[in-house]
Amino acid sequence: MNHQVRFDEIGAVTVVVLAGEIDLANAADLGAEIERRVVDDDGRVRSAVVDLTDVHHFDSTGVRMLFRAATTFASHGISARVVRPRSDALAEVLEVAQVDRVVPVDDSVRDAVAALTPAS
Amino acid sequence: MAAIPHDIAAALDHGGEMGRRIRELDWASTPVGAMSDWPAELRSALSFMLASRAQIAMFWGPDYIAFYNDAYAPTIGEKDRTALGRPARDGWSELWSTLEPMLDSVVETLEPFAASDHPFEIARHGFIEDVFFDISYDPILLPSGEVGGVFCIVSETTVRVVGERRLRMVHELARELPSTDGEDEVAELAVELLCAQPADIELAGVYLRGADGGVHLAGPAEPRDGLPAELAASSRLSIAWTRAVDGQSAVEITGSWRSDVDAVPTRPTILHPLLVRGDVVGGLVVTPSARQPFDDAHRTFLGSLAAEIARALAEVRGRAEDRRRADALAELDRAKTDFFSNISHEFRTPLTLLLGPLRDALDDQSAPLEGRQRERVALAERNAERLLRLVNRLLEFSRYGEGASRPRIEALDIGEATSSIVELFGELARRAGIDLRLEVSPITRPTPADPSMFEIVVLNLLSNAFKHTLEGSITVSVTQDRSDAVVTVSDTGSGIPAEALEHVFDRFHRIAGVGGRTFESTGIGLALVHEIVDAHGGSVTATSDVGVGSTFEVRLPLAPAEPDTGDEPVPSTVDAHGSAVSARYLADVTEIVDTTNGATTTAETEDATGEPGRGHADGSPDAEPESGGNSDGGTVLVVDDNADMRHYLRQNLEPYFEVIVARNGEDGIEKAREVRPDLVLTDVMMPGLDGIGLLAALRADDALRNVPVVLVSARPGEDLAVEALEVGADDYLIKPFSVLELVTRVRSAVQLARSRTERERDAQLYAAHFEAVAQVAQQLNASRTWRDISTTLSTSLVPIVRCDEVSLLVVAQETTDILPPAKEDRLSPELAARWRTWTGNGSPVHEAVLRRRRMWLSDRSQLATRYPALAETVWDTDLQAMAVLPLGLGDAGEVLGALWIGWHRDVRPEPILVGMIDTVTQLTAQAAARARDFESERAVARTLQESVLPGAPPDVDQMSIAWRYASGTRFMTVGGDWYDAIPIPGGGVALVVGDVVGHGAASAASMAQLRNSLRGYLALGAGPAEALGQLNDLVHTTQEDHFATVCCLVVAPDRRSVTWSSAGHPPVVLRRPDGGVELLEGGRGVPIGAFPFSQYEASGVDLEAGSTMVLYTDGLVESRAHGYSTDPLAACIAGAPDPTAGALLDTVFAELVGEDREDDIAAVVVRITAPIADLLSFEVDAEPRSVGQVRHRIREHVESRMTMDEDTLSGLLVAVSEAVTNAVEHRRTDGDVIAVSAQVDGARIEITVSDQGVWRPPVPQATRGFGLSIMRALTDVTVDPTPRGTTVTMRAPKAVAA
Repeated sequence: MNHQVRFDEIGAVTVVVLAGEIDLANAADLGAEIERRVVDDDGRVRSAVVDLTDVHHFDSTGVRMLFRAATTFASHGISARVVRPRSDALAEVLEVAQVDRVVPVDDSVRDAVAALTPAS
Repeated sequence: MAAIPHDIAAALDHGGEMGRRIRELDWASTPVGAMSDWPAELRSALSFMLASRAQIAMFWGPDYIAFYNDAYAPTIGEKDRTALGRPARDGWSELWSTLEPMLDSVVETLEPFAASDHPFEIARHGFIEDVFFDISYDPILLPSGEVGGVFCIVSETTVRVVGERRLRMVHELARELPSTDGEDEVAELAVELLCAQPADIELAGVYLRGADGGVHLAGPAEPRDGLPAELAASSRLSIAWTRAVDGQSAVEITGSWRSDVDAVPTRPTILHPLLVRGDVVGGLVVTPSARQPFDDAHRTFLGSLAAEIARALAEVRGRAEDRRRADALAELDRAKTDFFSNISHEFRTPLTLLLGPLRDALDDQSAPLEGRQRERVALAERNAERLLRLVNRLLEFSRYGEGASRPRIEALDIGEATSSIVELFGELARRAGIDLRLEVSPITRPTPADPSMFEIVVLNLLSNAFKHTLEGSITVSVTQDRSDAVVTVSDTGSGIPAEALEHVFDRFHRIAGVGGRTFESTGIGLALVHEIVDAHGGSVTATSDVGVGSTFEVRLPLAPAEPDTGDEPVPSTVDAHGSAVSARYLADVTEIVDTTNGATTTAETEDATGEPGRGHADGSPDAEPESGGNSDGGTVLVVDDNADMRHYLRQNLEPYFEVIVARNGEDGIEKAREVRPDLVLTDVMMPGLDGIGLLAALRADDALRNVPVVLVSARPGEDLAVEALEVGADDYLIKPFSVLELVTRVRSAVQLARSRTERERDAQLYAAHFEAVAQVAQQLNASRTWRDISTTLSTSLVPIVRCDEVSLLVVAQETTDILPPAKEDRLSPELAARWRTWTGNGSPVHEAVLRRRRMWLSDRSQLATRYPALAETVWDTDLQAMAVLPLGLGDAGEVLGALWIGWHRDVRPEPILVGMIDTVTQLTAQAAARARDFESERAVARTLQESVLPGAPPDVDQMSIAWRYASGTRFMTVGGDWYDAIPIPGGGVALVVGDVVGHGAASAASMAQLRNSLRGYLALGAGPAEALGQLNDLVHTTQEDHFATVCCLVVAPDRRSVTWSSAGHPPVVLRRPDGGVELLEGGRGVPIGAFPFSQYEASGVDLEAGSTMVLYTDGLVESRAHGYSTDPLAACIAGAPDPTAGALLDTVFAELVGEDREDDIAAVVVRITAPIADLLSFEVDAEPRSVGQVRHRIREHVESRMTMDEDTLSGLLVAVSEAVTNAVEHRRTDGDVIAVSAQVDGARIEITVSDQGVWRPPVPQATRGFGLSIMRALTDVTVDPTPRGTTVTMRAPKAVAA
């Protein structure tokens, strides 16, 4: 169990809450854990939010991790969204890498969950 | 076997060969006794000795029984078989007398004994050898307080000591030999210097090839040391000589050959040929000392000696040639003066006899001459008069000029004298419309001068001014400047071009190509002024601007001031009005002014001499009709600036030809275009466009190209003939000439032009041109480069073979391709552009080079038959015929290129033409061979030097670096020294200065290799000592023959200290901020390449802001006058007013680097501006976990020192992460490290990340390669990739884009 990642359930949406620093030393492991927890639950999870709000460091290795996870989610029919980090500098990393061309980026978990929850 | 004490058993087991032998030796039978009885002190010393890699021996007990380790064994060579366990006096018997007192003193005094480079004579390889050791002998104390034995740690330094001694000798030869006076002196001094070093040289003699072809021993004539006075007297030497000359390389003579020694020598004697410009001019016979092993190093050393001697011989020989040339010129000058003086005398008599009757005829009232007759006689009289004046001028020169009688000094009132002369010219000036001004200031004292000589000075300067001034003013002034009287003559005339100004006082020099009145002069007037003023202890100078005017200034020293006695003698002056000399000058100038002004006014006036004016009695010859005469014979254009001459020529030619006249070159070319004459008859000397220029203009004009031109000149001698024909004149006439001669020559030239055949013309020309071939030969001999040769051929060959195009084609050495023609070649643009068509495969040039055959294509039809493709591509050019001559030495030598000659007309291979071309081809081939040697050597050396010496020093923080390289001036010394500065990971800076032994291409190549290798080691983070060790290992493993001294100094990243290591290089000089100077002496090791496995040590010292260091090569501390000393440099640095890097370098070069230096010099000055505060510098392993570590350390460093907003800092750290991530992902091996530095400076931070991998540019791919874009978005980033590693520099705050 990695203390940098927490998995919350908000309604039908699994929220992956990341914290701390993500770089070459841990990105691959984190990515693997996220994919295992979200996908391996036997098709139960249909939508996921990756929440980067409390991430302190995030660079291109983190971007690669997101892209991998997004690809894996898509191949399992899981809709996913990303919540941008609180730090403007880290948010810019997402912009430069054009993460939103692969997975939509939201300002808050609430927005992301709302976007994934079918209107009732 | 006796029991082995356990405390030494392990030492013996691991003690290598000596451990084994000590274990096996039967010690019980030696005075030391059985091993089990050995005292603890012996056992522990033995253990230490065997475990050590140092060279250690130990002598135990009263008999000094010997022990030693593996490292020591080779230093005693063959003794090693018997020395172990035996008394030292047996094993070291030949040096026992030296060794015993040293050992005894250690035992008796209990004091250690140490010495550096201690000399020993040792027989270790079958002969007594001089060797050197650093030694340290220490007593081994027993519990009793006595000395049990002596422990000797040694280090053999023979290679260094001997190497340095030899290097000094080579330098000494290089320094001393070239300053001698002759070849024999070079040889004698060389032998003296060589024999002064018996440690290396047993016997030396220099043989030189004499004028008689024999080879003689140079120096004292009697044979010495068995060297025969004549080389031929020894058959062994003669055979060796022949082989040395053939092979141009050293020959070893072994066995017994000397008459004075019976024993068979143990060393061969070597005969080194002494090569000067490729010729063997002599030989160095040298026998190396039998007290040194004769190895490759010794051979190389002897070769260097021979090379230095040969170089000195070449230099001395060059100087002797220069002297001979100067002597010959001086002799020629004297002969000319004598000659002119003689002929002038001879001329005067007949001239006087000629003038008398002519004047009588003109003055005869009883039978006055009428009309045409009077005109003819008046013309003759005027010109006879002029001739007499010219002759008198020449006489004057021999009277007052160089080597003539001393001046008769009187106290001259220079103002009065000058006025008297100038006034004489007033009337003439008025008539010529020139404003003649005279300004005389009072002069306090008289001038000691010869009045008649002073008169000539002023007259000449005035004449000169009048001749060159058509309008405006002439100002003469007399002033006093301190203790000089100054006479200046200024005019507003045509001026003198700068290049002519420096020759204006040379004899027989005339100023060509400027406007003015006339060229009629002897060219000695100003030279005479110079000689006279010189003889008076004064000076004369000229300044001039073309088109503005000239000023001549004469300074004569005044008489020394004397107390006013009240009755000073009245100074003398010049009475110009009564002077025949003044009258003559005035007449001369009047004549010139009137002639060029075309004035008729002189006819009725009297000139200032009071004699009747002799103008053009029957009206102006310039009132001539533009043309006239008999047109049947053809039209002749006469061009002459002298009105009389024009008139005379016209009169005499008119009966036969239609005559048109022109007054000068410009007028001539205009008239020629207008009337298309059948012939042009032109004077050579004319103001403005002269006869030669007119000829060139005619030849350049398509319509007038074939008009025959006859030159008329007053200059006698062959040189005009050659020059005239060279520039393409058809004939020439030398003044004076008869009417018959004139008419005949003009007529035949016209006829010849009308029915000219190539054959006649060529034959006539070639006959005149063999002399020109000799001239080409001389020029080719002086040509050093291919381009020189091209230039020579383009200018000199063209007129001789009357070709239109010439090209020198060079075969590339490596590829054997034919290179494109040089721009110096004379080629039409079409052919130059299409060079591949006539030089490429299957072309005549290609075939000539390939088959070594001469090709001759006489006309277009031959070309079309043999080279149809080429004929097609040149159809639109003027090319009609061509010849191609391969350039090869001998019948078998390599073909270096080809000489290609093209004509714009058909040309048959006439024998005379082919003969000339063959001669030129051979000469060109020889020049080409020399050019190739010269150029390849020089080009390689220079290219390497240029590629190796870096341009501007790098910009590094808180340091300033300045450097400079000066090549040697005395020889072609390129390629020895180098310097370098290498920023190293973490912020340090390495500075390197090195000096490869030798010069030229080989040294430059060595230097390049050493420099690049050293750069690599330092850039990868090696320290100075480590880097030098790696460099030395590299040299020995690659077995390259490099030998170099190198100093490597590394400034720490924080700029607070330096470490350095030196491979035999002179010490760095450090200047402290307080002006104190010290030499950085530590950290010294042997030169690179001296011997393998050398270890280098580093030393260090702390620095303050303002510390300045000077690195340099030995040229800066070695001089012919003072030998080797760092004192002048240290003094200069201590005394330098401004210690900034650039200023200090300027001071050092200004004070210590002379115009005339033997060696090249490189120097680097580095100054620490300030320590770098708050520098963080560290290394991490290239592993993923390092990414975070780097980030944290930088964050901590920054946050403790500055306030930076969190976003900016996070962004910067993202960029740092990207850089480190990239370095980790592209590491080469697991051991790689990443160097990181971070520097905070106020509100700015700069971070560098350096690795040893290759930067991968981002690949546009879906999930990778955002690294660089992210970095760029967040911070200022530069990536500096090199083959050895990549440095990424990031700066924040990011500059805001404009």
